Amino acid sequence: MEGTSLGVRKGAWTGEEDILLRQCIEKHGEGKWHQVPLRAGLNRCRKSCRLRWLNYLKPNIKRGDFAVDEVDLMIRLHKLLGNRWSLIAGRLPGRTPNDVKNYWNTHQRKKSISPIVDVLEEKEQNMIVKTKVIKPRPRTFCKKLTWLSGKPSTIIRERTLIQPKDDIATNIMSPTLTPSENRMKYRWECLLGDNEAGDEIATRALNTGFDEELSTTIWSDDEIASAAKVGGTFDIHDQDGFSFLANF
Amino acid sequence: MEHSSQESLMKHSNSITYESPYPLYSLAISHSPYRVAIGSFLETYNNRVDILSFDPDALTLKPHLPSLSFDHPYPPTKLMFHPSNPNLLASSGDFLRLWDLRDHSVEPLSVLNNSKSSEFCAPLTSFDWNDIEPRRVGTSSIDTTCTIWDVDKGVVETQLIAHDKEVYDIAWGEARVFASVSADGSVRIFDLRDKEHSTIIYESPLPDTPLLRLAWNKQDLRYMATILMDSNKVVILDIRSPTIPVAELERHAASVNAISWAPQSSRHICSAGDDTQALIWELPTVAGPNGIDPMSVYSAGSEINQLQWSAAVPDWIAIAFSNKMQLLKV
Repeated sequence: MEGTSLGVRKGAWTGEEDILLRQCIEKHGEGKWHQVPLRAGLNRCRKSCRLRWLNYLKPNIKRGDFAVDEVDLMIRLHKLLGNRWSLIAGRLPGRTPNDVKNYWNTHQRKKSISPIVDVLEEKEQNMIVKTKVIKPRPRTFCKKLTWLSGKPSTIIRERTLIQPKDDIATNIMSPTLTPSENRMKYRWECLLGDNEAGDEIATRALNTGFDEELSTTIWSDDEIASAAKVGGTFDIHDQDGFSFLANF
Repeated sequence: MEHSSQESLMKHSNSITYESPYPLYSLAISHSPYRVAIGSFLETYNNRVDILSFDPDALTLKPHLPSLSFDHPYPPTKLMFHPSNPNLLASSGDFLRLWDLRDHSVEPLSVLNNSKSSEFCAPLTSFDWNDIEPRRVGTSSIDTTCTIWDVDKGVVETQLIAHDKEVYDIAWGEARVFASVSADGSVRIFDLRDKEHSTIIYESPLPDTPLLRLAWNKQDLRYMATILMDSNKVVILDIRSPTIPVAELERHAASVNAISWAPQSSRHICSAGDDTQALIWELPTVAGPNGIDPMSVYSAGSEINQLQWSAAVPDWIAIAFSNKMQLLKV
């Protein structure tokens, strides 16, 4: 049982191995598991190292019996999420998905002895079937959208010419869509399809209201200066996404 | 003499304060009749909701007569009037509850409970009433789900596992489109016509910095605002340029707790936070290199926990701090 034909150790971890792994992670940080066996000098596969750390060695792991409120929350979350141990463990500070799963399986075996509980659980099963919980797959946009690096709109060009000091200007509220934005527009029109395209609403909104001055009795303007502090937010945007502005 | 008395009247006409016996958190405003619902924030089971009468001409804000106060289990995390019926109030907490405001009393209409067989419930963090389709109410929960209710029938229309962690806020954009923010640090848009997918339009810069609140600009649906946990920033998003905020408003001196778009303008937003300030911002077409300054500032007596800029009374911003609820004239 000391190893396999490949010579990688399997089975229980020794105290020495634990020390080596702990030292390695203290030095290099958590992650890059493929490098860990070599760095730590362990004759273990990377998966074994990772699981040993996450389930046993990580310093914030909470040991000992589950408290009543932890069990309560676990039951609640399990009712809703099923056997999604890492999601459940995420709500129980210091508990690992592995510990939660082990506790649940022991707990369930105890429960199934009582026939009354079985009837209850059957009922609950029916309830869950009644409202089917859907898990939509999240989609994300890539950071560099083609239209972001496209040609600048004439609006920005004009404004930048009028205000040459604002060389790091960012277009925030564009009153009209640029031609390149139109490509994206279709998508969002589908999403926001119950309405007319945003433009009309925006124009309407801009023309009504807010021309009146805000009362200054309680909304003081002089405090703004003291509230203001130097911020460099837009430098980041300039480098990150609005790179076309640098063309000026 | 005359001058000074006029001045004090001016001061009064710009803010109205109601002092409650208990700390306040949630609030909602209705018009015709002008009423304000306020929810207590007590760390016990027994909490209260009080209905106040607001008279914008006499500039008074006082408990409704006859009294329309009622007990509420746990502090309401949000209160909201029905989009068109001012006698219907909803609250979130352990469950979504509907309340009928009658002439002399408030009667519980329904408790919308998704798991009737369970003695446990996952608390609701927030909800939003769909003003285009008022039978739809969306709730967000710590159990990672969003639930869309048909409140007319009292049944669940859809329940979605929306995020990887607690969902903290939900906002409708359209009759069938809503968005939510979560402890997983993402803003996601959902379309009830395609329940198999969601679209992540923003993720907080530090991995997993929770996003606490979400406000969808009803005057221009391209824009949303969100706030991060323990952050002084208000992040403005344009859904056409996902992942990169179009602006970050960074003039609060401490954490921002609440945000609300102006009901009558697409370019104005109000934010309030632990620095005791409520700031009104006008989003410029083009921002300079030093960021954006607020157009006006209001300082309250202590940390502002809640803010509503309601279409019911667009000229007034409601804030809650410690045991006070204040209406500020804009």
